[in-house]
Amino acid sequence: MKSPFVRSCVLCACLLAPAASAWAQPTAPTPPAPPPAPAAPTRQPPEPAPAPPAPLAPAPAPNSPAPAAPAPAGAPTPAAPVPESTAEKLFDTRVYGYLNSFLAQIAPFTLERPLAYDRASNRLIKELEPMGFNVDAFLMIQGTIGNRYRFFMNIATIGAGDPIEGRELELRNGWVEASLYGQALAVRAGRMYRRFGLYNEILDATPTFIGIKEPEILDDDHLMITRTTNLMLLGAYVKDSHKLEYALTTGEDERESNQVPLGADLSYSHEQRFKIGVSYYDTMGKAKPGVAVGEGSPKGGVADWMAEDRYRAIDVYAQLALGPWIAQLEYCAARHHGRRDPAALLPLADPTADLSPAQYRRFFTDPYDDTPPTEADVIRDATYTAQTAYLRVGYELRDGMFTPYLQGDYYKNPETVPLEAYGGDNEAGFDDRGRFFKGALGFMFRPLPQIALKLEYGSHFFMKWGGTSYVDPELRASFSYFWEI
Amino acid sequence: MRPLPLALALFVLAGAWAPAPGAQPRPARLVLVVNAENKVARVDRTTLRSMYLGLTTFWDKDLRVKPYNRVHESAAGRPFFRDVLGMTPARYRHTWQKQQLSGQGVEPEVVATAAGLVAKVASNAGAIGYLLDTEAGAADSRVRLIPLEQAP
Repeated sequence: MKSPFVRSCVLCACLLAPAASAWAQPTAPTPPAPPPAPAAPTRQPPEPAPAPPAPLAPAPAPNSPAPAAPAPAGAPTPAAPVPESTAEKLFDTRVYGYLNSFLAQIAPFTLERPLAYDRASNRLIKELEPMGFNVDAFLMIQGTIGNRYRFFMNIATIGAGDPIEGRELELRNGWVEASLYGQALAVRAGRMYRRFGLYNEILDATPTFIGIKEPEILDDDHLMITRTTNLMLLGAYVKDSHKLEYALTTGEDERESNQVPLGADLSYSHEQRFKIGVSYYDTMGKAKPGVAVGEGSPKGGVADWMAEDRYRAIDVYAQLALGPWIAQLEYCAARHHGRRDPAALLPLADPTADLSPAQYRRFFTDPYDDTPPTEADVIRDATYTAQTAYLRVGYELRDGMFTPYLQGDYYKNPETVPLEAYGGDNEAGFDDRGRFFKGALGFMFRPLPQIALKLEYGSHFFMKWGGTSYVDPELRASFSYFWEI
Repeated sequence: MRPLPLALALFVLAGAWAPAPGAQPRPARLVLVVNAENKVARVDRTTLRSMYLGLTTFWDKDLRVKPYNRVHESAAGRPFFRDVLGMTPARYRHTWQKQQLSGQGVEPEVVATAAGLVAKVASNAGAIGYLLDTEAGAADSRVRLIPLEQAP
């Protein structure tokens, strides 16, 4: 008898043959394809010489079928080309992406900020962070497969600016969408940004944003929910300039076992001038942290030290583009009912975790001193509300070539801690109440649609950590370049 | 000579030299091109704009809209951007960039010639493009020309 290897080869061939046949099969029986027509995705081909005049084809009567062929008659007309193939392309794919370079903490316009808390002297330690360079690089592939299917892949290397060590590639998005009923109903499966608020789905469209970074609701060290999910049922109803869109999502998210977390989004837009919507998320039962204490900030809404958490988030948003003005407003609140895991929480009592006295008292009942707490000292119940809101206003001059903008963010999460290494937040964690206000004034220069230069000056306000108030103004800049093959 | 009579004389002279009404060439109009299999009878400007901005993506439950654009600064492209899209090419591209970078569609392909456009539209049942009426001779039996309707 044949060896297992040979049997495997025969089996593979049997399985792959029909697939290969289907892959190669055009959507309709057609003659051979003609030579490709001159075209370019976004480049501007040279304009051809003007054609001689020909009369317009007669318009059909209302609600009647249009003529089966053009009827240019009379007057000198160019000879109609001989009909060629009508071969339909099954795959239609575009490859593009962008590079986003950052320059943060630009001296001398950046001041010292608190970076640690000295428990012995009960005071915060402020330092000037060095100027930072970084690069985010994105490669995206998007296309259609026949009439029903669409796909999108977004591969990125985030923080690739380190000149010594390379960073890992990350699959940010990889999904296929199948239309079940035109635009009204489709299903998307894979790894995708959920529809939630104004920005989550366009999280990686940074060059088109007002502002260098996404709003704080999506900042990766204090996420309200997971950015990505795995299954989306979506659709839209379009009537004239009005568009109503909906999306229902579920996926692995942060579920503990067999829960079915539910996300929903409903929005109405009028052309691209006005948009209003509401988003909702429910863990639908127990959720668990995506990362452990010591592995970094949470990847969703559940803090690293939770044994379990149940939470719901609601988000309302609006966008208005009126003439040169563009304004965006969004508010999100997440109500948590969590139970802390004492063993996971104890490392936070270590002086190296930099908790201020007020932060320490949120988690432990023992005194804020050098004596380490025990698991019995941990406050297990964690019922709290995390909130965030932002307002962004821009004024686009010369079709967006010059855009001065103003942005303000508010964020509050009483469960957070300072250091990201311990699952904390680099901003709200440096405030005793776990909150911050952040304002920035910026300017975007877009010499070409493919290039965006942004310069921004901003600071956190009303911050108080370890009982000491501070501000931390910072100048930052970015340069984005959109490319397409 | 006084200024007023001089102005009147110049006005009359200018009127006499002006070309007679009707002697001006008629501005070319846009006509839409769809695949011959597409049975749509009319498309108004609002719907067309919606298709070219990626807001409307299906003709019906089965057929995806596949728009093709012309060179933005061409004789056909200029009136299309001005009268149908109501935006500059830079604004249009910016709008599409946001959608492309979030997987919500890709900017319509730009085709250089009328014949190229007809070939593209002929190759996809859901395709749509536009020609100047002076370019209508480039069309053939694989496509249909339909008028561009005003919005209701």
